Amino acid sequence: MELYIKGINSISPSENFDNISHIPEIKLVDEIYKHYVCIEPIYKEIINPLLLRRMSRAMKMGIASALLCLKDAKIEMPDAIITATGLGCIEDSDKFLTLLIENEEKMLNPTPFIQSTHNTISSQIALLLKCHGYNSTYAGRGACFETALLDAKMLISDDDLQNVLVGAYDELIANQIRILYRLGLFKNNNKINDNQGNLPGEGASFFVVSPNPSETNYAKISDFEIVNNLISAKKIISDFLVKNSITIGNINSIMVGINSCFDTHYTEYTDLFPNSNILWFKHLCGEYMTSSAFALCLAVKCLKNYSIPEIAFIRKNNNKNNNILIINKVTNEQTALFLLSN
Amino acid sequence: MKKKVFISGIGIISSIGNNVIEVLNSLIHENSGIIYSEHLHSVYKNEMPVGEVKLTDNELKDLLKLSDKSQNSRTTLLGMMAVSEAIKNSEISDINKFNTAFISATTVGGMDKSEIFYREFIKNKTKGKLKYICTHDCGESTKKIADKIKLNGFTATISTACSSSANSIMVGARLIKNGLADRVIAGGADALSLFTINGFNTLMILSHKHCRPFDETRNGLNIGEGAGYIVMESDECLKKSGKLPIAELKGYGNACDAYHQTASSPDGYGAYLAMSKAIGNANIMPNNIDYVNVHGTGTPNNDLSEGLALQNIFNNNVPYFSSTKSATGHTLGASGGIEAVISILAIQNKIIFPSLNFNQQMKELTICPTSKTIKNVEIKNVLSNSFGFGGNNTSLIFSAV
Amino acid sequence: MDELINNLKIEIIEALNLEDVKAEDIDTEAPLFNEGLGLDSIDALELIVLIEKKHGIKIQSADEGKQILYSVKTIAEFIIKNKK
Repeated sequence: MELYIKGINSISPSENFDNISHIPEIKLVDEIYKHYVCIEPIYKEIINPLLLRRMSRAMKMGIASALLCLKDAKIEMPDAIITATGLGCIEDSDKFLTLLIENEEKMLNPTPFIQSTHNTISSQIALLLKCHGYNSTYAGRGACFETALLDAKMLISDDDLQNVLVGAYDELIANQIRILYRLGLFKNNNKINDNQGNLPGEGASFFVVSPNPSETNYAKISDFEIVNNLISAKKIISDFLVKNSITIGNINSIMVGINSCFDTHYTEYTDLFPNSNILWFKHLCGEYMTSSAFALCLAVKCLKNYSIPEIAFIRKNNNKNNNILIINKVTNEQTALFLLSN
Repeated sequence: MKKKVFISGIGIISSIGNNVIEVLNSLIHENSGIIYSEHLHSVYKNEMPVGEVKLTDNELKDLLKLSDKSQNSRTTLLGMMAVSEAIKNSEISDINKFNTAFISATTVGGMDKSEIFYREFIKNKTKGKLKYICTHDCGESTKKIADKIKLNGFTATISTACSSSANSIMVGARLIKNGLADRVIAGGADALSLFTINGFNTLMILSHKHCRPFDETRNGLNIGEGAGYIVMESDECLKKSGKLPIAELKGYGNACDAYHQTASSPDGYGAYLAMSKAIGNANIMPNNIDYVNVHGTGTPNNDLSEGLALQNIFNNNVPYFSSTKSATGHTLGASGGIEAVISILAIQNKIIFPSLNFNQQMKELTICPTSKTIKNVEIKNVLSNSFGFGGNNTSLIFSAV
Repeated sequence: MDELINNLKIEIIEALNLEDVKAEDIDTEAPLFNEGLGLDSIDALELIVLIEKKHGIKIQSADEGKQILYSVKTIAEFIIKNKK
């Protein structure tokens, strides 16, 4: 079954999402740890200020992105809400954990605890919309965003749903940046050119997916799959493309999850597509557990606009823009594939 | 024609037993696992009783044949125990023989280890052993358990507060129905942590005594820990291995109360919706339900809301119902999995397990939970409710085969 | 009492992040919850923590809290009555 993308929104570190022209500004924690920060909208214009007052940044970003996405799709009430998050509302978890240790378990505020659960955002969106439909949240490392989308696809086919709101969010906080650098996941090296995606990032991206084709849709998700890396790249791609009756030569562009110009993790894939454009995205959003939602948003925008921003190219081979294949290694074990077309 | 989903194995660990047999015996004999904590060192350990698994982390590691030095959160260890038992119970010899998926649920994940890390870290950001923070994300326990059982197939982690593992079972069933998996191991695990004890304490919904679900004098819940997983298989998959199923997962329903961040709506609309969706999905009538394993946390709010929803859906003809949380404690993200196992045990053994500590009917309701073990009851369909913060409500229906 | 009431209003605004509200906007005798400032049960729990933290008095249950937290005036009266 094909899914159509009816509406999108992304709150990301990149400015001017319609035509991104430069990489985001790099911010620092403790004057040394580089990272990206989302450019956030004016929330008061989107969310009831009375509710806004106790929301963390992740909640504001996630909820605002969801509401803006529904507006973009011209949908007031989705049939279901499914979210994905790597670390959830980490600011609230960090706050409650710190408080509980510092105060020796006494006089703790309930709000950070309540909002630390991973389903906070999906249920808050439902609460704001009074949406009683299906509601779920996938969490943790791995293909959580892809699984949320898979769930949406099953729901649409099982229950005849028309509009499912699917999204992902992850916020970055100072303590987490410190830990990520200490773990050696990011290098604090000034020699390396700043124009790289290998920095901690964050973002919220939402989509309204539907089984119905329409002129106003952004793009079509012809197929997507989460595959185990035990199989060779060549076999993964050939099986996936055969299933979708398309040849390697007909793939206009591939978008890969590399995080720097020197990242060799994807050469086994890029080598398979000598005539396709190669695009990347992590230099525009940073590295985080649900960055593939940003990739999907960027790719469908490119297809809708019939144009790819220059900054997204690693290699330009053709001027066609009818389809994009996203290839993203979500963990060492799993690779996610999305075949999109306009 | 959608495929049917059968259950071929169960595994459980909780405060009332470290395996299926022990849990069954405790349930039959009306034993409670709620005690003052021995392993978790909270300042409230002598004030708030909890449903604690009676094994230390090292004892769990021994049973799992893991080295003492291995870095696993307690959530992961509990999950490994129940998953290993479920696989054994299902007589699976080669986990990768069929297209097998693993859907796991947790809310605290490795919070026990994060707590150790943070004690050093908040004093000095360059301190704190990094090995303790690596278990923080909810996907970590899923991956560790999948590695332990050497699974190559699809894995996913669900975290929807206290309905988490009911949702993982539901999603697992839908993977089978959609032909995306032949066999799914699904459920959830959650360990006790200072984070959750203190969190629920800030909400002022922890009872200082044994919880009393559906009792007029109920004043809160007892937090518990544990894990519960089931093995689900398609009909074809069962036939190929020549196994007989122990039950069927006949229906499921997920709905959102959309009323409040933590409280349930006064009329239990979300609970009503989840139950009615599940009954509709199972293609049965409310009067086909023989027993309801209720969410029944023992908080004033939940039990009133759920009670009204029950009266509503069963049109005041409510079947036997009980909250086994009175014995196990509320195991949060694991409760849906633990109560799935208990629902299946009820069917297998023809027993209605009681709600403990019940004395006085709630004045707003016309119904009372079953408060004594009832044996030799023909149970065809069990409805199991799991409701979470934010109104994430899920109901499952387990049926005899 | 007046000073306590004014302090309480400032503390409430700060604890509950009521950005656009000023102390003089809060009617001392009006209900804080639902209609009044539009506060809810989570705010009530936050106020219980506030009273313990800033005024050293512990409210034992949410039920007990309901009457105490009715208005700024009832909170002030409770604090005066229980101050050691």
